[in-house]
Formats: sequence, structure tokens, C-alpha cells
Amino acid sequence: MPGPIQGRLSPNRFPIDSESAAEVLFLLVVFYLLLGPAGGFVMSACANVSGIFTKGANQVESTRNLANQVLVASDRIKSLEKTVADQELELTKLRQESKDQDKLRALLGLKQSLSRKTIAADVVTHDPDNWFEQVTVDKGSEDNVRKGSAVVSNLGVVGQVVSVGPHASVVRLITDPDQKLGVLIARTNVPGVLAGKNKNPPEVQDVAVGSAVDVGDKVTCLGNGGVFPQGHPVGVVNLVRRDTNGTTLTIEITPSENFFDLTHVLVVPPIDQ
Amino acid sequence: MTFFSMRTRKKLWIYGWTAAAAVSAIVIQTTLLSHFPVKEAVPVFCNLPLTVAILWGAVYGSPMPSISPDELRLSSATQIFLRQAMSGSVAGALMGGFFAALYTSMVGVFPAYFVFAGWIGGYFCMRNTSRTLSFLCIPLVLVVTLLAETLMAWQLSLLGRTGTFDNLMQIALPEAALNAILAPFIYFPLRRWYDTVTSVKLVPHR
Repeated sequence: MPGPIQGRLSPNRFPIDSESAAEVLFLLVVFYLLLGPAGGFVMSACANVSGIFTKGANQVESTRNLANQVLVASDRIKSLEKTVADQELELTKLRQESKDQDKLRALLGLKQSLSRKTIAADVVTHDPDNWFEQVTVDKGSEDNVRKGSAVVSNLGVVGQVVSVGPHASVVRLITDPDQKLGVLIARTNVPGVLAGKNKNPPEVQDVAVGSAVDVGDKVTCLGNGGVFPQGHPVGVVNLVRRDTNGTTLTIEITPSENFFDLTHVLVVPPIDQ
Repeated sequence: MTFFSMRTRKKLWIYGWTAAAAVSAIVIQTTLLSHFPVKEAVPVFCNLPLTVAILWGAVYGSPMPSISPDELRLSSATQIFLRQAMSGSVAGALMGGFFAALYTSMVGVFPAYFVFAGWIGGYFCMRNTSRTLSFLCIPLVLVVTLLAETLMAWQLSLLGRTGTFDNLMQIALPEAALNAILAPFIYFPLRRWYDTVTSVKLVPHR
């Protein structure tokens, strides 16, 4: 039995019957209704996946930028520390010159004191056992480091170079028992020899009883040998005790530098005689 | 085309990993552990290479069988002395010698205690005695570290260094305790690695 639409239209011009047309229409509607949410789902999935990659790329980019900034800041800190250390050296030198100018001219001469150069170095390793107080720096003979060179930081005297390789040097710290250093109590100009005591603070021994030394006095480098910079800080007097012989004092020093936290140092080659 | 036999290649592989482990221990010690001392009374840090040297000998142990009462009666004094000398681990002594050689470039003295510690580590031969006594690695490292540091104090004292025995009194026990804490974390992976290596069967390529 023909339907009402088919009855009004010619079957030759419209071969699709009314039920088929309704089905097609229905399917189109269903497709439209389904494709809408499905398209949204696909789009959101694509967005999520892309977002992950984009966020990852952004994270990488920001990390790279941060790393670059850290590197730049590290270089800047390194150069500033070198500048500060150089200026500290210059300042202590000037103080000493103003304090005892005639003596300095007589001992070293102005030309010599101005000719000292410094080599910036990084501390790469610390001594591996509990017996030696030594560190290794990343500059060697190819960088003009010589055996016997003084090693200082902006805070104070660190030690002395005892072994030199082409690209690295071993520095014996002032806390090592084999390391001796001529020092001066800055306030009263009392001289002495500083000796390391392994894990304990270094000491100045055999100072005459009656010498004016108090806890808190600054101790500086004597520097008469042309190795260590004259007047550079070494530490602070921590303890003064009278020896059992009753005629001498032992002065315990707290070093200005924390030797377990050394990162950047300056190597100061000795003055050529 | 192969240049080496299977046996040689296996040995080269083992030696390569051994050298890498030794160098890693040195690098970890000098760049990390030596910067973070334990500060009780004095700043002291553990000695990772020494612990590795002791346990290296303990893992390999001595290949010699245990001594019997008859053997004591039948052996000459020379034989007994040689047995005692060879009862330590040669592998441990070699590992200690390798560490000592690396140390020499930094400290300027050949620390003979490394060789001694590696050798005596194998003397106890825990692998060949009993696997149930594995946790003996802790007291073993404690005792051998104390002995090794005492030997180092004697060596430095003979070389004319001052204050060595004062330093020994301060560092020996804390360092031995720290090394003993490290011991299980090194011994068990080391023994597992050794078991794996020794269980590999050699199959030539076709």
C-alpha cells in the first residue's frame, strides 16, 4: 500500500520512498547529535595531549632559561668573588702600607708588592681520609701555579700548594700539622708561628707570657717570606692558655675560612727573589 | 671475528666493572662524603674506599680450605706460615693497593693500610664459612677499620708526622662506626653481583 507522500510525487523523479527519507533524516539527526559531543571529545583529547606536550616544552624551556640564569649568576658570582678577594688583598695591603710604610718599603719594595698576580681556581676535591688536611684545585702548572704558592680566599688564608700537576694542584690547608705559617696578632703586633692540629683548631705556640693577646683579637699573615700576602686575615683568637712550663702561652685560633665549604680560592705565586 | 676468547672477555668485563666501582668510590668520597663530616666533638667523615676494600676481600674470601688438627701436627713451620700468609684475600689486597695508588696522587703518602685491610678482609672468608653470618660484615668493618687506622698512625709516625696518635684517638672510633653503618649497603649488592657473575655460563657464539 503506497504512502501519502509517495502518492503525490512521481516515483521516477524521487526513487527514495518516504520511510527511507525519514530514516535518512533520522540518521542525519543522530549523526549530528553524536558528532557534536564526539567532536568535542576528540578536540578536548587533542587539546589535552597537545597541552601535555606544550606544557612539557614550556617546562623544558623554563628550566633551560633557569639553568642559563643560574650559570650566568654563577659566573657573575665567581667574577665578583674574585674582585672582592682582589680588593680585600689590596685593602689589607694598603692598611699595612699606611701602618708601617717605611718598613714595607725596606723589606719588599713598592715595585715587588705591586707585581703579585693571582690565579682564580675552583676546589674540586677534598682530602679523602681523616689524616691529611688537603684539597685539590683545578689549576696547575699550565696555569702558572707553582709549588709553594700561597692559597687565599676573600675570607682568609687557606693554605699552600704542595704538589702541582699540569691541570690540578694539591693544597695543604693551614689546619694540617705539617703546615706552618708566620702570623701576627694585629692589635698588638705580637708575632708567632701558626701550626695545624688536624681536626682541632690550629695553634700559635711558644708565645712569651705577658704578651698582650686577648680572645677575639684578629690574627693576620706576617708575610715576610714573600709567599703569603702580608696582612691577609688568618683567623680570630679563640683561646689563650698558659703552658705547663709557665713561661709561654699557646693561642688557639679559629680560622676565618670554613675549610669544608671551600669552593673558590685564589692562588698567589711567591715573589721572585 | 673475535679477538679474545670467551673466558678472556668475561675476565675483561669483570675487571672493567671492578675498576669502575673503585673509581666511583673514590669520586663519591672526594666530591661528596668528604664535604659533609659528622661533627660530634671533631669533624670526621666515613671512608668509603676503605669499606669497599675490606668487603671486597670478605666477598671473595680465601680459596683455601679450613685448617684441620692433623694438618697442624703434620705441617712444618714454613708451611703453616705460608698458609697464614695466603689465607687472606689476594683480591682484597689488590683492591686495597689500587685504592692506595689512587690516594697517593692526593695525599703524597702510599697508605699501606689499604692493602692490609683488603687482605685481612678475606681472612675471615665469610662467603666460604657460612652465609647465615652475613651480618658479620658490620663488626668486621668496625674492627678492621680500627686496625687499619692504627697502622696508618704508625706509618705516619715513622715518617715523622706530629700528632698522629692524638688524631687516631679522635677519629678512629667515629670513623669505624660510620664505615660499619655503610657496610651492609655495600656488602649485599657486592655479593649479589659476585653471585651473578660467577653463575654466568660461557656459551660461544655460533
